[in-house]
Amino acid sequence: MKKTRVQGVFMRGRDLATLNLDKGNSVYKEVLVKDGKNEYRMWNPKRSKLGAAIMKNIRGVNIKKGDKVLYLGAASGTTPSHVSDIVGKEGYVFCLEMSARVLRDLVFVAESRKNMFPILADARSIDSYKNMVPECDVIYQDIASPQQTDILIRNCDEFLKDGGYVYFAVKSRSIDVTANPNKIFQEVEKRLKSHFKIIDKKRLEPFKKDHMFFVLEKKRVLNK
Amino acid sequence: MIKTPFNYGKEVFDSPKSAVEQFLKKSGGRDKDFIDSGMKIFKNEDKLRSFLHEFYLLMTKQRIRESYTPDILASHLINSSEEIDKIINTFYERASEIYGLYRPEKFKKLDIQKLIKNIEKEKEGEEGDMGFYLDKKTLILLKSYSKQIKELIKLREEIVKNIETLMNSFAKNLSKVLGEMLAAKIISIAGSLKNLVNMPSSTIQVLGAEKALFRHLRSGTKPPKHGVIIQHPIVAKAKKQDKGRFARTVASKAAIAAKIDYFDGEFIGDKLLKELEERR
Ligand SMILES: C[S@@+](CC[C@H](N)C(=O)[O-])C[C@H]1O[C@@H](n2cnc3c(N)ncnc32)[C@H](O)[C@@H]1O
Repeated sequence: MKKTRVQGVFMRGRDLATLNLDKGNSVYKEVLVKDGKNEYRMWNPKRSKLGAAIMKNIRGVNIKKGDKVLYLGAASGTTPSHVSDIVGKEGYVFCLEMSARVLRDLVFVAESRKNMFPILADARSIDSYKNMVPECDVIYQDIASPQQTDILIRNCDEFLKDGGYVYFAVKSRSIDVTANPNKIFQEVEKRLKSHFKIIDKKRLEPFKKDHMFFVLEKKRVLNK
Repeated sequence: MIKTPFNYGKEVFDSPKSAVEQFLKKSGGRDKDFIDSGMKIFKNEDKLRSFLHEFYLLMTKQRIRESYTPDILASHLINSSEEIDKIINTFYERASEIYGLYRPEKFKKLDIQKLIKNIEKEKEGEEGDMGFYLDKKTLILLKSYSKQIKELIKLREEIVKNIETLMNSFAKNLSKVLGEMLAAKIISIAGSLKNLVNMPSSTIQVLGAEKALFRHLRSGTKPPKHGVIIQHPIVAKAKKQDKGRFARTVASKAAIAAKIDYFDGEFIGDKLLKELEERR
């Protein structure tokens, strides 16, 4: 198992992995690999957009041990579990998800991962979970919603610290099924520019079709 | 938003923040960020983390339970009944092909009920001029098939009864206008009664024709005139050129009915159905 440029992310041959925080258990039937006294979980980039973005050498993935992460659209916990590995046991991953059915699966993952904190709520109604999320170092968003850019900006205004990082997966078809993906990504980028510094962006082919992954930094508010 | 009071020891809180704040009040201070605040009370981050972890899990579990609505079960049941229909049909076709090898003269006229009855009475041996000799092993197999099909039909009937009761418990107006089965189907495609209520009736009209709708949006083919609403007797029986218009009327009544059901209104299903029948 070799270290990569990305903190907390490892490689075996050409495959990604993270150090398993919850030894002996896998989350989505991913393979567990022992190396010395460490155990790693292989990370399938077809199942995880963050994994795909790292495979495509995106710059700026910089989630640190001990970070507080707000994860919007956590679903059943596939990518959140790798983020949980990366921030380690001193970190916090607040896993927000609107669908009770998929969050039900994540609850079992969170039971044995002490740094995962599930929240059943809609990312559009910040008031309903304002009291459950502290100021965060990182916001990760992967929700298939036409208003996803708006939702991201509002959550970052509320919860992300100045200079905090954002990982944002955009699926063009969930914004408009008929329009040209490139056009949609351009429009999204235009909106993002007024709130964030764009560190990098990558299309996720061949792992995911018609997806763009952005790494953003929240602009620091000067003269505060 | 659902408010779930959370019990921790003797105290009741509705969020981690309020929990930490109440602890904090006792210890005298106040802080913006509840994790920093919590540290002042718990002193030790592991203890704080365990408290928060337990808190979020319990709260989320309670919220998941509270999010249950009867339309979720209704959707599973209506989809299940359609799946069982397909399974029954597949079994029936295969069993009658096998049966036809031995009793070709009878095979032609057999619908599903007759096939079951025939197989039940069947005995080992040869019949007619074309059929193979029906041996004991195959006979037992055929009887198993017919037993399974009978069981599946019974299961389907039970499911239908459940759907009818369930639908009338939370969507009685919609059930009256569309019939329980179609009402359940429409809710399942919409995702929930709540989603259905938020849809314009022009969308309800084409629910279940998503493929044709996307094709229309993408490449300008003709838009669909109706989705599953075509199963409604008024639309199904209409002449071809009237189907679109009737589908629209049925959809608009369904939209009204769904809204009344969702907002716990009274029963005006009879009136809606009468208006529907007069309008066509
Ligand atoms: C593509 S899945 C996320 C998969 C996950 N990020 C992973 O890689 O493991 C998108 C999720 O966003 C959720 N979602 C959509 N809109 C939402 C909203 N407004 N608030 C919260 N979650 C939402 C959906 O229920 C769905 O589970």
